[in-house]
Amino acid sequence: MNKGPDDLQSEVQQANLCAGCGMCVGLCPYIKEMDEKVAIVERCGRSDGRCYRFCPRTSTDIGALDEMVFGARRGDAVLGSYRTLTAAKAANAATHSAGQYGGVVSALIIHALKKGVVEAALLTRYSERKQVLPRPTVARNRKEVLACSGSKYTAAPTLSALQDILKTGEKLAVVGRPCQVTAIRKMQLYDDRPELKNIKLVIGLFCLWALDYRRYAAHLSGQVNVSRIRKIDIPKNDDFIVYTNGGEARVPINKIKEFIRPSCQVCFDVTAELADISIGSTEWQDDWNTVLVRSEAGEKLFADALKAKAVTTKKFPGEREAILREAVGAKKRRVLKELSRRGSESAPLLYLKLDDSQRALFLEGGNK
Amino acid sequence: MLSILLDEPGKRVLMMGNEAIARGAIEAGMKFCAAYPGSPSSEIIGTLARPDVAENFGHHAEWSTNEVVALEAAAGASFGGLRALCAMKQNGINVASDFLMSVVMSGCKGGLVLVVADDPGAHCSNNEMDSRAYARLLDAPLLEPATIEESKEMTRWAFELSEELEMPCMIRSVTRISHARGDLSLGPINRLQRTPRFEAYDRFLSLGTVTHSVLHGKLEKARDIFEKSQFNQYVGPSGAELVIITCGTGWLFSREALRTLGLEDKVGILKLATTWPLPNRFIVDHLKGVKQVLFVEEIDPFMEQNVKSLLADYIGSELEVIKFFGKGSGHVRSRFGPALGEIDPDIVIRAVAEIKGVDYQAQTPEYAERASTLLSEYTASRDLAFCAGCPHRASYWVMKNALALDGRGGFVLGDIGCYGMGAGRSGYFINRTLHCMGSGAGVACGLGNLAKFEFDQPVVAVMGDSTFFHAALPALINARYNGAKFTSVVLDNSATAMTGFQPHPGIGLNAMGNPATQVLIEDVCKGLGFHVEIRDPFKVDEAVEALHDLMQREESSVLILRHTCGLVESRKKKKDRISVNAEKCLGDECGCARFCTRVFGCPALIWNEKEKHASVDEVVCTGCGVCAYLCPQSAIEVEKAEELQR
Ligand SMILES: Cc1cc2nc3c(=O)[nH]c(=O)nc-3n(C[C@H](O)[C@H](O)[C@H](O)COP(=O)(O)OP(=O)(O)OC[C@H]3O[C@@H](n4cnc5c(N)ncnc54)[C@H](O)[C@@H]3O)c2cc1C
Ligand code: SF4
Ligand code: SF4
Repeated sequence: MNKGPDDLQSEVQQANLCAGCGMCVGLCPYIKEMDEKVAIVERCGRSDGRCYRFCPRTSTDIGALDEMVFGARRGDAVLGSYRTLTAAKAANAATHSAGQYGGVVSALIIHALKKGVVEAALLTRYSERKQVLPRPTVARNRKEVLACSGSKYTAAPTLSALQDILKTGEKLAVVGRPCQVTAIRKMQLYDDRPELKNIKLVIGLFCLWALDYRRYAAHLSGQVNVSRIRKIDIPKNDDFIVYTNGGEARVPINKIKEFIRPSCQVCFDVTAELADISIGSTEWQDDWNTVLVRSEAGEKLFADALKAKAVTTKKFPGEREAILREAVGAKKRRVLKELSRRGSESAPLLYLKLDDSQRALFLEGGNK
Repeated sequence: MLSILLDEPGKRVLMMGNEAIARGAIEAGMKFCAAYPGSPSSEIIGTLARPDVAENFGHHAEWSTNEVVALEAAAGASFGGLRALCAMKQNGINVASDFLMSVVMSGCKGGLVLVVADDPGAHCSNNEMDSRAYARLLDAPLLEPATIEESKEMTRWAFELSEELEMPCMIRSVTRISHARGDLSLGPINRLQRTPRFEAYDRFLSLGTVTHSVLHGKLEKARDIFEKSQFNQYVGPSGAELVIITCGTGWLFSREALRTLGLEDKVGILKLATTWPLPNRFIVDHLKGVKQVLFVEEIDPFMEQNVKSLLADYIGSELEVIKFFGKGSGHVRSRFGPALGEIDPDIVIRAVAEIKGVDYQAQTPEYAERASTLLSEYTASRDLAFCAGCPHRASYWVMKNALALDGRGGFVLGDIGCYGMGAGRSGYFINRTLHCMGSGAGVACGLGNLAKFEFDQPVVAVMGDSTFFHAALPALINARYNGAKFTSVVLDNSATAMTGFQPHPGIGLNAMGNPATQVLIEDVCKGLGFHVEIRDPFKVDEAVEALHDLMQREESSVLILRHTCGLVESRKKKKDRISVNAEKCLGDECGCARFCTRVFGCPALIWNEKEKHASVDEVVCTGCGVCAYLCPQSAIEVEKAEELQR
């Protein structure tokens, strides 16, 4: 049985489980977001709400979602279903240098727009009004896509703008963190509004954590002139470096980790397992990306982009794959343990719904 | 011509109680009047400040920033030798009391009259109080007019009395006198031409026990004068067994009660107009042989207790044993109980009938029910709510949103006046305290200074624009000085709205409608060192963000939510037409589940139960359009006034 906004409030928001994805915000006039804090301002009185159903932190049936997106349950408990694992980068020099790492996300979106696969992309860029605050943005051309490039390390509520853009009828691409990809897939699973067909492409980012905007921004503004930030990076998990037009600031990664949103500590998805294509860093070459092509739509777009020389690829070395699997597997095991500690009889893994065989597979860190 | 302007002694005219008080002051040659507005007293200075009235009689009239300043200003004029009037509602005397306590001791020169209008039943107040207790506390003469005519006559007399006693004189009115209308005879106008001067030997000093003893002497002198006052009177048979002792509104209620019960020739009425100090001899002389006394008065048993304690010295000697009835015995009681709410003729009828064992039902329950069903056909049933188009409704929505989005359990400390509604549905129940003007900021000085005890909830203090000048300033300065941290929200609708749109220092007009120096709230706050933001509450999202951001600051700050009062604005300009597009409105089916009527609650928005969509009551709607901005379906549409004219 589904629940409503009161439950979303008590089980997710007040329980510090909100991932800040923004999905519920766009669905309801009473759910609002400010500086990445999501709140229900007034009760609508419903006991059955889409807000609750689509939230990535309410009961999430991995098997059903896998079947909807990929037509089958996963065999790979660590990286999820995928077709290829490669290293890639944007071929265009400007796109490449604007991108966080290899610029593949931007390159694929630009390519999809150019080819008419999509007409608009829901992306995330810094607000002009508030420092280091990411806001949802709709990009329809190359310039607008590049204005969004670069990772913002807080929980941007990108999906708060999704419902409005769906109404325009445009063919749409969405780029999001794994929690956001899950929210989109849950919406597609449970909702049959025709406009959902407009979502043609979901690109997921790898993600281990996002920061709490309020505490992070307060800390940063004491360190650097945040109005002039060019790029933020965590090279090889050392310091957290903020490059600005007037020099750079280094924050020890352990300090930064104090600002991690509590919800991220119980997030089991690192590689956006339900996306069409998932993209992350390589952890060994700064200007390349790790790319997991997962769905049929993803495969088609990526192959097309390759053919059109929008991206270039190279082989993903076996030893790097092992490192990737180890890192992802470690977080998953930690999270599953934490979830079963916090779970109850009716929800053994809190928000995660796995049958016994899946659960065993996950815990063993099984492989296909 | 306005009857207050007439110089036709003897002419009978109809006047409102507050106008009668104003006319009494004019007839006494009053030259200076000051007040802070407050129902039910506002029309006293409201009338005297009318440009035609002020010009004709040449007096100065002002809305002062608060009651103590008003009284001090009036006293200043009196010290200069002019006759001066100060008016306020019951709450006001609390504000004025510090100065009042000492001006009775220092004495005054020109006649100084303080009118306090009480509000029994708290029709237009957040407190119900009996200001007469102050007269006793102050040792000041107290007059209680019983009719509209007496309101004028006794006001005129109060100036003479004040000059004779060289001390301020207090008049107590109540809503049913101040706001009732009655006829009266105009008197001659005293064209007193005094040139104010503060003489070399003038001293007005309150100096402890020395001046206190002088004061007691004055009080005895007042008592002597009151013994002979023709405003105190007895009507009824001699040798009555039961006498009603009454004052103020109780006088006419008592007469009506006796007439209704046919007891006019059996029961006497002793009407007291001077209720402090009491005319002892006059009272004792009229109670010879009386066996029962019923006290009838508004709110507290003030007169009842004072008379009882007086009579204790006479019973068994000059007087027989008397059985007392009134609030003490529970015979005089409103539906809330004795010493609560308003009295009326029915209450007096019931009391007399009970004492006399007469079988009389003032009103049968069936009658009451029939009356209310009949009336309900003509009146819409409405919550106590902000008016249609009121910017405060939007401001409260802004606060509600910002507090939720801040998410740290922040809360709002309230102010009175229109803002009192913030404690109810109209303000989404978010005001968590409600006391007196400016107390939101004052209380915030405490709650906002508890960080060292690990108190981490954000504190928001609400105040009106007029309150800002009236009472919030000392608290704001205190916050700066003592480091209290809170966010002040000034709801600036550019009017003292609840009391009748009087101007205040922020507006740039004085009481008489002439241009005046404008004191800008933002300038004052910036001068105090506050970070200040100004937003339009109808631009809801911007205002929510501004408040939210201010709440994140380390220091106290001020948000001014500025938008002219809906009623003032709708008088000035043609209104836009707002309507609901029934096709677009999803009502119960919408995720909002009827936001506009269920939550937002503007009185102009009605839920059409039959057709299941919202609609707009065009008569009530002021055309502010904020509901169109807020409707999640964009189902509410605005047609601009300019387009409508074409
Ligand atoms: C919070 C966060 C944590 C991450 N953690 C890891 C990690 O631990 N390991 C790893 O390998 N990779 C991580 N990534 C992904 C990585 O930083 C790059 O985004 C990814 O490799 C794509 O690189 P690119 O050069 O193709 O990006 P670009 O071409 O620069 O494109 C980046 C895209 O990301 C979107 N975006 C930026 N910030 C956000 C955000 N906060 N929320 C949603 N969308 C956003 C923008 O719309 C833009 O289109 C993380 C990303 C984010 C946002
Ligand atoms: S995780 Fe997303 S859907 Fe769930 S409460 Fe937070 S913002 Fe809403
Ligand atoms: S760690 Fe998980 S919950 Fe946190 S931002 Fe990344 S995907 Fe969302």
